[in-house]
Amino acid sequence: MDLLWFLRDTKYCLLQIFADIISAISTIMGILLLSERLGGIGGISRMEILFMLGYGVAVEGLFIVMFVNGNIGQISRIIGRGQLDHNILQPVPLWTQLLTQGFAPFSGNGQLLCGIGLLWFASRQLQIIISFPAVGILVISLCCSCIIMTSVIWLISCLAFYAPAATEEIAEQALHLFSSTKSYPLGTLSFYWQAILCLVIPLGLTAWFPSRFLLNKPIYSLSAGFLLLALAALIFLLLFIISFRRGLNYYAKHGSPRYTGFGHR
Amino acid sequence: MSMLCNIPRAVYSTVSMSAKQRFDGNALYIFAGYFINILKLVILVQIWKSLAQTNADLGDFTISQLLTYTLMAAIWHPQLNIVTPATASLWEGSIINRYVRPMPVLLSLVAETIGRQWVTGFVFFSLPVFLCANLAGISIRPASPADGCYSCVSLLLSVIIGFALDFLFASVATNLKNGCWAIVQIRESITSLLSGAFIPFSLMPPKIGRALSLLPFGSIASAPLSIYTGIGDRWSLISIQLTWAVILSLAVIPVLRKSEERMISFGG
Repeated sequence: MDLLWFLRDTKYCLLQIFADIISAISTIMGILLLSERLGGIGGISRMEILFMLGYGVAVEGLFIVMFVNGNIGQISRIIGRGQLDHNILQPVPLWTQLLTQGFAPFSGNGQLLCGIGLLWFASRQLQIIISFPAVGILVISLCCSCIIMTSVIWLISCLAFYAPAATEEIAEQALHLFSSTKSYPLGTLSFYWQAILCLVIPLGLTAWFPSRFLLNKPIYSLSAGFLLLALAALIFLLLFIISFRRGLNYYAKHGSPRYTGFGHR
Repeated sequence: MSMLCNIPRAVYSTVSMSAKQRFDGNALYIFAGYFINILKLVILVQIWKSLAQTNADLGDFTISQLLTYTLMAAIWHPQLNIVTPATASLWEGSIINRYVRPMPVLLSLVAETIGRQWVTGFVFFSLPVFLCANLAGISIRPASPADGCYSCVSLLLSVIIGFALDFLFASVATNLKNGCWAIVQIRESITSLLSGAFIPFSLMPPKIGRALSLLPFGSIASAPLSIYTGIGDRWSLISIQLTWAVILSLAVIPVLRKSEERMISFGG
């Protein structure tokens, strides 16, 4: 884990945590200041906007904590650099490595803690009763949104099986897609755009849609919204698994025409 | 003397080579970036249009001006968000190559930035977006011909400030060594927020907007875009930009010289 980095290189580890927090704050400040001036956006009040933004930051924070180590979150780098063999040769199933190798609880906790703080503050301002079931639903929703975000990034990263040089860094762009656009409140958009941004490019499923049903906003009830989010997570996860297995089959037949140890831990 | 005479040719060669190398094995990554910028532009345009339909307070802007502001922020994105190869090459170790080239290091980095990002960005992103703007019902014309001219002057000052800030951040990265990517992350984060390209300062709480417009980051994007759309006093905006351009340009050389003494480069 990254505890070694935290103990050996504390200064730079803390600097990275600080950078993550600054990054999280800056991605939400624009929308937050806009909602502050307008008194809310798209039928959502300022504190509800803050709740949505906190949810989005927490989702990305969870992604960072779970997958940032060892380029696991940006798996196109591993595939594109021909380093997947390093994982395949290990006497541990590949799926276990994908789920565990990226764990960075010490250096990657900046955004997650920031997001949890924003959620807590917004909940207090909105006078939401923080009960055990409510927290449980929130946590599961966060996990579902994280699964969606991770599945899409990994799904796009599967292109690296077929074009390793051209798509080595494609995961970075996929991550940037979510980081820079998930904080947009989609309530002001038409249903057509909301559908595109929730079903085709699931940006809305990582902040806006979950915050709507968690705050009991129309049109979906808490239970319906929660089930839809879970279903979407399952679908995107399945899409990733299918694509990854096909990519692995291709990789088994053709290998990788390039190898570089750059960035391998 | 002969080196001075060769500099224009060296700059042209650097720009040309950088532009041609931009897509070497990297095309999908580049076009994915353009796709994200277009998506952000589309979402933001939809948000502004829907806010206008609900008669939301758009500050000093009409909806047409706001759409033009957002469009030009996207078209001028390479010039308003300058990222030179300084920090990346420091990390990779290829910064040493710049010191053996027959041209000043800073000029080499400027030329590479223009070649890699401006030329290719103009051809494959800015120009197509500019031409398709009318189809989306967004006006591309400046508020007046004079505003258009002054916005070009303001853009030039923005470029100077942008390069100066990037070199100053690169100096900080040089001193931090392993922490250079954290500095890049902080820099990109605060620039995107404080430059006014994403959310105009007029749409922020008044005190915050006024304070941000006085900062060097605010002079990068908000000033030329505001002048182009006819918002705000062009002379005060340009004078603030000029002040920051002079201060930062004068600060860059001594700060860089001091940082060079601590530079460690391995690889290349």
